Amino acid sequence: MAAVAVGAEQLGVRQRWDRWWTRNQIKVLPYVFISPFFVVFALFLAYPVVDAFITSFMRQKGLDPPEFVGLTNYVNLTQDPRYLKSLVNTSEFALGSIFVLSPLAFLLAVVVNSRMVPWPNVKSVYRLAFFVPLLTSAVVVSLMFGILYDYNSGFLNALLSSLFGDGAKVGWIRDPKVALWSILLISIWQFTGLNSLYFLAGLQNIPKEIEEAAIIDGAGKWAMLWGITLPMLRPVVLFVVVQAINGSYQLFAQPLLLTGGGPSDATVTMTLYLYETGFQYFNLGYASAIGWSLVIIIVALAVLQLRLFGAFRDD
Amino acid sequence: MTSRRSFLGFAAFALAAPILAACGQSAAPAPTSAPASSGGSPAQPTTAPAAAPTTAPAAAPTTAPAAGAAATTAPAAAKPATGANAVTLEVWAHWDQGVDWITNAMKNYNFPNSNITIKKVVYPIAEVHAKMLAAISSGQGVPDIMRIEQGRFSPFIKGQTIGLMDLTDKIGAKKNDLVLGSAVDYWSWKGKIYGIGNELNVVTLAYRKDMFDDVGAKTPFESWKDFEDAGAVLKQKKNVFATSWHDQSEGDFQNLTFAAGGKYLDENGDFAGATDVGVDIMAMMHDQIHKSKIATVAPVTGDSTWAPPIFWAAYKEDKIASTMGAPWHNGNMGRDVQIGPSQSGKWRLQRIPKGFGENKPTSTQGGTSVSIPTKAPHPDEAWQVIDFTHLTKAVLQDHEERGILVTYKPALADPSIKDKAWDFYGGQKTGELYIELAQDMPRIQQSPWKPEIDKAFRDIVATPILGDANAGKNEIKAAFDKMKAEIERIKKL
Repeated sequence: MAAVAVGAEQLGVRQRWDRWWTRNQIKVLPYVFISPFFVVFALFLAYPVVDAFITSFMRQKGLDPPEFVGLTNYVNLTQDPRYLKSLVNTSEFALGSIFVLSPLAFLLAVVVNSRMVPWPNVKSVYRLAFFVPLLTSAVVVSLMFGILYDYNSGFLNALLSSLFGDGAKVGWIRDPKVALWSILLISIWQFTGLNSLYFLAGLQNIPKEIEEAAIIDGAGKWAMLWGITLPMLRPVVLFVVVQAINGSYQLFAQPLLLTGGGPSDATVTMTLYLYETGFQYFNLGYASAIGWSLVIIIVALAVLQLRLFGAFRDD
Repeated sequence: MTSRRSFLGFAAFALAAPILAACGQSAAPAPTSAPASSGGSPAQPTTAPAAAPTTAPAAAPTTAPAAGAAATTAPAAAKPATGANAVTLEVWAHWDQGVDWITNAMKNYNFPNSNITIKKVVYPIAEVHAKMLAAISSGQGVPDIMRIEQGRFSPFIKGQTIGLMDLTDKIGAKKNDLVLGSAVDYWSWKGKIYGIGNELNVVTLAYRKDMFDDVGAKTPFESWKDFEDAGAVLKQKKNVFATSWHDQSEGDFQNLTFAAGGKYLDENGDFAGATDVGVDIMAMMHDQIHKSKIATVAPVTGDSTWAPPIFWAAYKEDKIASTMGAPWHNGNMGRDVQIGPSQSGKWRLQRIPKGFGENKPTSTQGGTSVSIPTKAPHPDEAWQVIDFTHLTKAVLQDHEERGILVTYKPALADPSIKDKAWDFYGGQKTGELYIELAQDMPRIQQSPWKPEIDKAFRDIVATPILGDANAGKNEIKAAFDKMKAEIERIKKL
């Protein structure tokens, strides 16, 4: 008798659940389907990010338990010449990306979009060619440029010394004044093509009628460029610049593989310094503070760019 | 309705499974099983080629950091023990052979305890030490034996808590049977021994006898002065650099300092190389590059600051005629990963030339230990394995597999080491030389701050001095002072 009562009760629960499900499944299902992303995000991104924030207020020596030190790690950052050097290097690289790489990419896009390359098939070949360097891994690219840059037997110095004598050799990755620009050169080789594709897509989306109207009104090439092309490309320029800055502040593989941050910290970047502090010195608190300072800088710069480019404007 | 319910049930299961699996992970990294030959990124083979160098002198990463590289785990070649007393020891290393030789030694040299078998876990070198620290710190997933590369030992001794067993008493009187400079010094701190290395990393100078013979230079070189004189003729007649000095590694400076009877680190773990002899050593390297121009800066890359492929390429192309280092560096250069067989018979090994301080003939450079974490599940069995494989002739297994020299003195006298004539070195019995030099191997110190000290040395002393043609002894002294200040600053962070 008791078993029958339990069975009836279970049946009742089941029926209630079925009714509830029938009424609410439309509301619930979308959340179920998107939940895998949030679960993975929470476990593998949000949790480490929050944990790193907490760790940034700790000091940990070796295997000893962490000790709360308040803002000490952040204060030390402001007085750490290596951190400041990494900040300057990274910022210089970012400026190079914005003012050298991006204009080059724009020029490339303008040329491919112009009458200089009139055939659509050839345009496609260029587009493909622009993309190829991106398919090469950072490790391979660094090894390749390491060989090109070698002081004694590298191709570049061999060329220079054959043209101008031994005195013309450059310490591409050995001279502190040159090394960072050598790494920028690698980025230019690897990423200019991709950025030019962004610009190319933007250029091809500019309505022909506007350009034709401007020509009828007597606008010259410069006027067209400044008055029509660049304003119409504003969203693309914004995207390219934001990408360039984000990428620059996360620059890691090339300096690690090519110079190790040297010579004498000439190419140490913020992420490289973070890696060194966290995984070679195992000063996890300080490394976390470096990481969070990087977050703050990137977010601040992104907001600044959005404002400068008028991304919040309604037009 | 039924099918929809089934689908939702399946969806819920699929969602729950990874969550539960993730929750089930121990705080320590739980290695994923994979075929023994796989693992790591392409840039980071976990399997070292036969006789490949297993150690790196610089603290700088010798490999790129691998994102998400998986560990390789495999049971040892030995048949798994069964029964109530069966114990499987988990051994972590950064290359397969680093565990395989231990397993093979147990099998081939008749390890007496058949209840013990080995489970190998291999992670890329850029990750394995961080995982070891995490395991010790959390107490979860702690292995029984860890193979710790000397350049990455410092974090283990940085705080008051040292999560490794003191092996001093266990080694006991057998300490006298070890070449201590290579066997224990790198893993010792404040009088306690936390690991044993089996590689005798005795440093020699390898030189191109054929080239120096061609220009009429007398070899082997008695002193650095003789070397410089010969190098000047070699440069003039053949346009070949006599040697290369590393400007992004502390290795050369350390070797010459140790050979001079000096210290790189003192008993408290502080930098001790800023002496008059240290200044003289830096000045010699500088002057050979910039004044006599018989030497060049070693061609290296950022991720491998000692001897990457680009380094060996310069030797293959007959551009440089000597290199100093331990056996893993210059003891078997005929391998394809180094110079290759094309220069067979042209090279010789000799002691480090005289010229500084006590004029010792050698130094020690590199090594990887076996260490037992204090929280190891089977510490007694782990010690049984270490005792057998490192403190008996079973250590010869690693010599048989890789050609390395061994730190256990009774095994060093084995004919396979002592009597072997090497074709690459013109029939020279290099083992004899190594055994002779091992008698004078210097004792060295370790430091909780070694990576920081090495980095400061590279950035503040080696790179600027060797890169500045006008630098003199005053600049070297100033660089040492600046370096000391930098180390003190870093210690406070």
